[in-house]
Parts: sequence; structure tokens; C-alpha cells
Amino acid sequence: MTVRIATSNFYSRSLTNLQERQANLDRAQLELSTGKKILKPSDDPTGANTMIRLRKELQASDRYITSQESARRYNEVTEANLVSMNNTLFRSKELLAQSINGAMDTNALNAISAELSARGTEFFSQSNAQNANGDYIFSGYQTDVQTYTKDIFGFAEYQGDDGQRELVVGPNTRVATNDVGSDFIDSVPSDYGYFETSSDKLSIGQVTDISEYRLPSFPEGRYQIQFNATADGYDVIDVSLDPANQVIKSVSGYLAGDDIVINGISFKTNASDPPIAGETFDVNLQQTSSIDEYQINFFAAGQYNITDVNTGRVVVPDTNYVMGDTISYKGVEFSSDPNGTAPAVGDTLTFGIPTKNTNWIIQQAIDSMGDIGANFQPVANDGSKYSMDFAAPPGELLPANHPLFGATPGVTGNMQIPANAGTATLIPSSIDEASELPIGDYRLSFLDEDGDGVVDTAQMDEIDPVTGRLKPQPTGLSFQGEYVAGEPLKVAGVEFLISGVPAIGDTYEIGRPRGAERTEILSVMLDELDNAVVELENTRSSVGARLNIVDNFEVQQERFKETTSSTLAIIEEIDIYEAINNLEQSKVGLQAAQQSFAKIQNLTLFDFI
Amino acid sequence: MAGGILGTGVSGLAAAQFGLDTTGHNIANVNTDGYSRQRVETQSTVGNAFRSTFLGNGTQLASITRTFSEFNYNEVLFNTSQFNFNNTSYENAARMDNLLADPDTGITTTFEEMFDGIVGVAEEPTIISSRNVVLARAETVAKRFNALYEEIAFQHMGSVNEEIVTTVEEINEIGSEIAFLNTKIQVENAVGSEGFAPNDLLDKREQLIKELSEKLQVDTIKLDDGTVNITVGSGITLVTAGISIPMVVDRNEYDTGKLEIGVTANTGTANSVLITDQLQGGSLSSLLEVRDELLIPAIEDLGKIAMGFADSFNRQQSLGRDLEGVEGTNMFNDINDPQVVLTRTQNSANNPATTDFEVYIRNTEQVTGENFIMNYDGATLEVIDGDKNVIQTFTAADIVNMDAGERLTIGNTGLELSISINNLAAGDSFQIRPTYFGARNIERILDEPELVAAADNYFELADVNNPNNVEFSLFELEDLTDASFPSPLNVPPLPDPTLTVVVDATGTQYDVQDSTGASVIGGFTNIAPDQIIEGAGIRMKLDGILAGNESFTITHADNTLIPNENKKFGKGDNTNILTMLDFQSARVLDGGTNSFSESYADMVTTVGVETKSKEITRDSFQTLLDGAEERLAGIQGVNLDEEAANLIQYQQAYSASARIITVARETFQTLISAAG
Repeated sequence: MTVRIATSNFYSRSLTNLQERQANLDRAQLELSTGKKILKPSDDPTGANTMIRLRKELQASDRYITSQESARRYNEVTEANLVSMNNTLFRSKELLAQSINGAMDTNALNAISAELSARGTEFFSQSNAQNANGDYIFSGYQTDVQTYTKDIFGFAEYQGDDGQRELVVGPNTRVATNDVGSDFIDSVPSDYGYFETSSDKLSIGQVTDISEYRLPSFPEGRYQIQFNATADGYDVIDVSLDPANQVIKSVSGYLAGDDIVINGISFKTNASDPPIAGETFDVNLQQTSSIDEYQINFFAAGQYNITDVNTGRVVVPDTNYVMGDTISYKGVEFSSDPNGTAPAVGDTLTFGIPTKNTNWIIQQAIDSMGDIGANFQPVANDGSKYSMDFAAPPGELLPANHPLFGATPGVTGNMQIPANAGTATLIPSSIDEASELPIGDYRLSFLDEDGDGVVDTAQMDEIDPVTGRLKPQPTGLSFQGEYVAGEPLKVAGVEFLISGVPAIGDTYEIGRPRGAERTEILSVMLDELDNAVVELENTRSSVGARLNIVDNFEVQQERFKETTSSTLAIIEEIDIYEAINNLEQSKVGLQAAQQSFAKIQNLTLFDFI
Repeated sequence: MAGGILGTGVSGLAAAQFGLDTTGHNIANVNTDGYSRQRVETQSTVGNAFRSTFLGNGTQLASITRTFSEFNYNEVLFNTSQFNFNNTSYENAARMDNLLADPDTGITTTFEEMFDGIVGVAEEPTIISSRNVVLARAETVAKRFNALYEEIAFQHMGSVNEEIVTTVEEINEIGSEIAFLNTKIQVENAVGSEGFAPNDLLDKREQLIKELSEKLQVDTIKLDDGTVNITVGSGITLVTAGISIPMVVDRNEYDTGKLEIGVTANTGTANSVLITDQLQGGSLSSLLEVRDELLIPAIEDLGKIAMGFADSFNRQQSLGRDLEGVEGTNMFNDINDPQVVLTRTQNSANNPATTDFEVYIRNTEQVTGENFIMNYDGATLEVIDGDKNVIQTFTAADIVNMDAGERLTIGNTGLELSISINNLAAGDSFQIRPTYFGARNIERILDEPELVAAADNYFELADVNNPNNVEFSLFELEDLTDASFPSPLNVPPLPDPTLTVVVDATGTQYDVQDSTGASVIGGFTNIAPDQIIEGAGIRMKLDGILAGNESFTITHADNTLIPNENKKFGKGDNTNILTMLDFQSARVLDGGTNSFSESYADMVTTVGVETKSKEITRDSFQTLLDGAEERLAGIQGVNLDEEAANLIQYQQAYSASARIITVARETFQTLISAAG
């Protein structure tokens, strides 16, 4: 039986077919013109999902690349600044090296001082570098705060924080874009460090006399300055010492604005806001370097260990001690009073490896340039000199031929030589033969050698500047000179003019010439500048490392983008040849359908009847 | 009779005439939908008895029948229903498909732009213009969510609702026409009981039933009297004999904006029976399905993403400080706004009095688009999920606490419940839809660029005892005015700038204590499954397995007792905005499996798969329908060639019959002449 075909059904079916072919052609054309085979998610739902995710990845990758460019920009700005800071430091070092040369005369030193001070200003402004946006680049997060400002004493103080801003330069990878001034300008390793007090009235303390420098003793590890009732004098206390004998120095005749000097550490005071009567100041060993911080733990009676605060590791194992011992680690030394109170179990003493600000180093070097003069500096004993060498027998303060030898008042741990009875003032006039007297600290005593009750001899004994006691023989030097009233005194090649009359047993502290002190301090400053350069270089290399990371991630992200884009293209984009082929097929199909329809639809029997 | 041969000729003429008429009728109706071609069936008349035999005396009309196949017709009906069902589904899914994927209307582009802006702030937080960019992009994100909500929940949903209403009207119209035809056919059948069926009425009725099938899959039962009963679903009658029972558009029990289909025995009766669930096939069922399976879930998924987005940024804002060093404020409006929390539950229309619940989102990571039903039996309140599982039972004591304003967590849903106005009566029922309005409500409210909280907050966290290395982090600073909030203004002894979080020995409860060890949250409290805890205006997160006896401290670093330089505010601090940048790929949605873009991608895929599968099903039913229609048309359709042949055939028969009469006349003439 033949299949009947309804005429109207024939038409509607033909129409449907034509429409379908037209839709195919339209789709082929659309794919070809857009270049995409997924035009709606329903074209390939899984592909569409992957596409959204890949696109997200690509966008994130673009952001990484944007951040990489910024990270590079910021780090390059930092590097440029570090390079110019480095140049400044190198020039400063040259100047310091020249000035150490003993042959420098005052004019030369003045010239060096002038240039060094220009370098100091330059370095200070470099420390306050700003970027194009006006942000301070070394202030950490405090970008609107000038990195360093000078306090009333002229010391540059860091005003920022230790915030390191980071950018995301790759998946889970962040790179810092700034360096914190306190990390490399402030944290210059130094053998001496600096000290802070409990009050703004005192500047930070710096070691100005290397030979007299001594840390406060443990377990407290701090000094205290106590002003008297009239605010014209002060006592200095080493808090750890036996309470009855705490005073290690007593100073009278203080005038507002004078420096306070403790064991070689000097603090500036403010003339317009001086310490008032009865005021006390605590001087702490400042833990400046948070990178290297250590803690002495007195964990049991008579025992201690030292731990690294940052890592928590024990760096000095459990050690026995008795009072009077010295605890030292990494060049930091704490002595103790044999009669002092032992630390309580559980007490700790935290100390840092001393550090210093580069600006201060340059400033101190500038200040030291003024220390000129080749003469020894005699100071009459006004009864305020103390020894704080706990273990020294009292006799060792004075030579054996001194009338008070063995009768020195005071007890172990705290000794005093009585004030001079005579009225003589020693004025150094010249050094006759420098070779005869090595540079050092001496105690000069007027003696009556022949026992006739008249001063006839002046004896200079070398002393330990820290303890004030005579250096033991044979290390300690001793020189004698004849004293004739009214004539200049000559001892060991040094000539002193004497006004007034010395009494038997009067003593004078003979400090080394200031020129020698300058040389001493400048060598230290030179070392410290070297350290400052090392810090800068370290920072530069970490900036370099960051730039390197950025480079690596740039390559990585570019590759990632490349592969992701091609994956995306495979999913999303058409194969052009296939698409053209599709278009052609669809076109031919539609044409054939149209032509056959046109032919067939004319066929009707009615045309023949 | 005047003569056998004449009569025979006339009957032949009449038969040919009938044939020509019917052929003409067929040709005239060649394009009439549902028309079944008709055929004239003739039979020879019983001849005159002539001697021992019958002498044929012509033909007579036996019947005019329509060629029709019940089997093929039912096949067409079924495929029509299925095709229309899938076609409507496809059209609606495709509409969503286009909307979601288009870069101009989709949401992912706006996310990416926002993160681009955030990178700008991270680079240099002090530049105001880059902060402005972030705000502008945040605005774009919010507006895009709003626009998508508008498009789906109003435009698309509106047109679906409108179509539901019109379709029901059309169905009722068709139903009453069928009932009318039933009556007519019944009468005609009774009159022409000899078998002259009212062909064209039947065609018309079958055409109507086919039209009805386009809207709804129906079952037909043919009765002996020629009438047809029409039922839907499991035997719900639409038409019986001459009576049609109209369907009514009703309102959902919980959501008055959601349309349901009901039937009512008497028109105008309020108490209709809802039959929405029973409907199958046809465009109407598809519209209902599209609404429930596609539109509402899409709205809820979008809401979930919008709320997650807003909440993540708001919480991170609260954990940072702005350019002035002040605690950040919300970037988008609060997802737990007091007005908004009230809109998340709906009372059943059957509840005698309404009870207002407040539903809080405590953790957007856990929230899904799922809806919940709550039933109150007079003592306890049960929360039931979409799979009919009870996920939470609130006791009478819980209800008292919730009534007093306490928020209790609902299972592991990330939701918290509290009662605002309590009129609970036994038998009350409620629906919770947590995320429905999320995409509508999102709005950027941070308006000053300085207020973008790029810098870190001032809290220093420390582990005191933490054997399992549980990650203790801040989740949100919720209430800075809390009396126990660790503030630099607090001076010892109490309140003080440090709080301690203590976990009990079993690791199931926690307490927040001040430095004297006194609790600031009223004693040990249970730790929720998501391990988010709160106290003193701070929400905190414990990530990891608690060993018990953990202890953590939170210290406000700007206090005067233990100042902490690490947490000092700086304008150049970008810590917090970098955390916001992490949201570009952080998996903070769908239980920690998806980022914002990924969650959206999943949604797009769901719609894409739906569209694709509907397209495939539609196309296959199109083929089936075409085949069925072709087969039916092969039987009932008019073929013009065939009709042309018939025309010739009948014309020839007519001519032949006329010839018979001529022959009769000539014979008669011959006889007359011979006689004459």
C-alpha cells in the first residue's frame, strides 16, 4: 500500500525543513562571524563553566601582571634611593678616613667637618625620600609621616612603623614594595649602641669616651640619674649594686644644658627644659635590634641561660654563676657586684645587639671633628671620683708610696679618694717628647718622697679608665717628675704649668689629649659607617631578590596566560576550516531544498485537467 | 415507478453528485486544521424482484465517513503535550541562558572589575582616585545583582505568571467549547442514530482537544453517546458530557505572589483544591515547572552569591581601618538589617494569626538557596528541609528564649532564628527562604572613598594554649559599642583592653573573659558547628579541631598599658585590602567549595544544562510529533491529487449516469416512434 501524503502536511513539512536548513545556515554564519562556537551556555554547558573559570583565571593573571609592574616600579624607586644613599656614605667614609690622619690641622678638619655636615644633611634628606605621590617611602605604613625628624637635641628619630606593604604578584605570592627605614637606617650594628632614658628631657645617650664605657651591671642592667635638691648636681646609681653603695658617680656644679656623662656615655640636656630638683631618670640598655634580641633567664638560684627572643632557642646553655661574675654574650658584657643582691629566680634581663642610626653616626663624627688638641687634660680630684670596681682592694686606687695608701676610706665595691687639700691647678702647656709618654689615662699624685713635709715629687700612674684603679704592674706605667714650687712641672715628657700650691697627697686625673680621643671615636665611627654600608647593601640585595621574584612570576604568568588562553580558545573558538565547511554545506543544503521545493510544489494534477 | 433505468440513472447521478460535493468539500478544506477527509460510501440498492432474481435499480448513499485513526490521533495528542511542555521549558530556559551568560548582563565581569579596582588601592592606599574606583565598581556589582533580580523576578517571572493566567483562561475556554460540542454531538448522534456521525463536529472537537493538549496533557474517555470526558492528572475531571469544570488560578499557601492551579466544583467557590502538583505535559505544567525549578532557584542562588559578596566585604571592612584610622563600616547594606531579617519567613495563609520570625544569616559560607518549612505542633517547632528531613527541633524552652530575642542556630544551615511577634498556635506552618531577596537588597552604601578600610585593624591575637594549632581569627567586629569591647578608652581594672577566649575541656563550649577571668558573655556557651563564636561585640572563628582547654587573647594594641607598635595605624597600610583581593579566588561560598565567580559559573552551567537538555527533548518530541502528524495526515489529510482524481472519477460517473438517462430517453423515444 502506498503511503498517502496530505497536501497541507506536505507544505508544512517542506516549510519546517526549509526553516531548519535556514537555521543551520544562520548558525554556521554566526559561528563564522563571531569566531566562537559557544555563544550561549547551553551550546556547551560544561565548556561554558570552564570558560567562566578560565576567564576568571585570566583576569586574575592580568591583575598579577599589573601588580608585578607596580612592584617592580616601587622596588626600583627604592633601589635608586639606596644607591644614592650608598654614594653619600662612601663619601662620608672617605672624609672620616682622612680626618683620622693625625697630621690634619684645624683648617683641614674644619673643611672636612663642613663637607661631612653637608653629607649628613644629604643623608638625612635621603632618609626622608618621597615618591611621586608624595608618600614617604621609608616610613612603613605611615606614608604621610616624614620618616625622620630631629628631636630638640638634633637626633634623627624614626617616625614610621615597620609595616611592609605587599602586592600579590602570583597565586599565594606576595612581594614587598617598600623598605622600612628602621630596618636599615636605624639598625646599624654597633659595638656601643645607644641608650634611652625615661624622660624627654634627656637626649639619647651615645658612647663618647670609648675607654670609659661600661654597661650597668646585672641583674637590673640599668643606671639611674638622681638630681639633688637644688638641681645643680646629680648622683649616678648602678641599680644592681649593693643598695648601700649604689652611687657610682656624683657630679656637682651642673648647669642647665650641660651634658650628663656616665661611664663614657653622654646625654645632652635641654637648657630651656632642664631636670628639676629631685628628678630621677632611668637609663635602660636599649634593645634596638628586634632582629637580634636575647634574654638572660635566671631560671634557678645561681644559674642562668640565654635564649634568642625571636627563635626561642637557647643560645647559652645553663650556666652557674656567683655574684661578682660577668655575663657576656656577643660582645655585650654585664658585670655584677659581689656584694649585690642576687637576681630572683625567674628574673630576666633582655638585651639587644646594640644598633645605631646612620644619621647619628654621621652627626657624631661631625661633632668629634671639633675635638682637637694634643694636650693631656688634668682634672683636680674634688672628692667626687668613685671607683666601681667591686673586687678591687682599696689600696689599688693609689700608688703604694701615697700617704693615704691602704687608708682609703670606703669599702669594697664603692670607694672614694678624698678631695684635694691644696689649691693647685694644672694647665698642660706642651708635650716635650711625646714618645716618652704613651697615650692613656693617668692619675697624678703629689708626693713627699724625702719625708720633709714639702711636696717634692709628682708621680703619674696609668689607670684603668673604667675602674679608676691603678693598672697592675708591670702592665701599668708609672712616671715620676721633680716638683719645684713656681716652676713648670715636667713628667714623662709632658709639661704642666702650675698655679696655686699643691698639698701632699693631692691627686689629678690626667685625661688623654682630645685629639687622641677624636681619632679613637672616629675609628669607631668609621667601623660603624662600614656597618651602615653593609646594612644598605643587604637591603639592596633583598630589593634585588624581590625584583628577581617579580621577574620570575612575570614569566610564569605570561606562560600561564598563554596556555590558559589557548585552552580557552580550544573550548570557545571555532576551527575556521570546519566552520567554513559547515557554512558551505548548510548553503548547499538550503539551496537544494529550495530548488526541489520550487519544482515539486508545481506538480499538481489540477494543471492537467 | 416510471421506469427502472431512469431511476437507476438518477440514483447514479445523485451518487456522483454526492461524490463531487464531498470531493469539493475535501478540496475546500485542504488547509483546515484538524479536518478529516470525508468519503462517500454508496451501496447498491436492493433490486426489484424480477422473476427469480433481483434486478439492480441503482445506488444509494450508505454514509459519508471521515477517515480517522483514533490510535494515530492519541499519538499526536501525547506528543503535542510533550512537545509543548519541552518547547515552553526550552524557551524560558533559553531566555535565562542568554541573560546569565551575556558579558553585558552577567555578573562575573563586574566582579573582575571590582578586583581590578582593589589592586589599584593595594598598590598605593593613599591615592583617593583608586579608592573611588573601588566604590564605583562595588556600585556596579550591586546594580548588576539588582538588575538580574529585576529581570528574573519581575520581568521573566511576570511574563510566566501572566502566561499561566492566560493559559488557564484558554484551557477553560476550550473546556467549555468541548462541553458545548459534546452536547451537540450527543443530540446529533441521538437524531441520526442510523450512523450518520456529525463528522465536522467531531473534527472540531478533536481539534479543540489537540489545542488543549498543547496547554496540558489530558486523558480522554469516549462514551457511547459520542461525548468525551476529559481528565487531567489522576482523574481530575475538566469536562464531563456537557459540563466543563473550570480551573482557577490560586495563591500559594505561603507566598501570595506565587500562583497555583486549583479546581473548584462550583465556579466562584473559594475552597478550591490545588492540583498544581498533578499537572503534566503541555505549556502550563512547563510554566509551573520553569518557575519552581528554574526561576526561583536562580533568584535564590543569585541572592546567595549577592549576600555572600556583600557580607564578605562588609566583614572585611569591619576588620580594617579607613584612611583616617577609623574602624571600617559596611560597604554594602547589612544582610542582617532589622527590616530584612523579617522578610525571610512567610506565614501560611492557614495560620490563624501571624507570627513574625527574624532569620539571620550567621555564616554565608554555609547558606544555600534551599528553602525550609517550619511546623509548630503546639509544643515544638520543627524545621524541615526540601527532602522532608527534620533538621532542627526547637523545644518549648527554645521558643521562649527566641521570643526573648535570643538567636538560635538552625542546624548546619548558617541561619539563626529569633521571634519578633509570637502568635504561635498548634498547626501553624511557615516557610523560610533565606536568600530570595538577596540580589534585590544588595546596595552599596559606603560613599566616601576615604572610608575604604585598606589598613589592618588594631587587634593583636595570641595563642596562650593551642595544642592542635587551631587557627584563631577575627570574623567580624560587630558592635564597637559593646560594654566589654576591648577599647583603648577602657582603663583597668575593668573593662580592660584585653579579652581571653577560653575553650572548655571537652572542646564544645567557650567563654570570653576579661583579665580578671570574669565572663563577659554570661558563662560558657556552646560552640556552633561552624566554630564561629562571639562575645563583646566581636565575632571570631576557630578553624581546626579543638582539643579542649584552648586559650587565646585579643588585645587592642593602641592601649596605654602595653602599646604595640606593630598594630599602629598607617595610611600606607594595605593589609586589609589585600585580604579583600583574596576574595577573587577565596572559596567562601557553598560550604567552602566555590568562589563568587565559581558559584555563579555553577549557576550558569545549571541553566545551560537545563536549556540544552530541554532543547534536545524538544527536538526529539518535535520529530515524534512530526511523524505522528504525518501518519495522521496520511490518513485524514486531504491530498489534492487524489481529490483531482476523485473529481474526474465522479465527473465521469456523473456523465455516465447522465448517459443512462439519455439512453433511457432514447429507448423510450424509439419505443414511442415504433408505436407511433
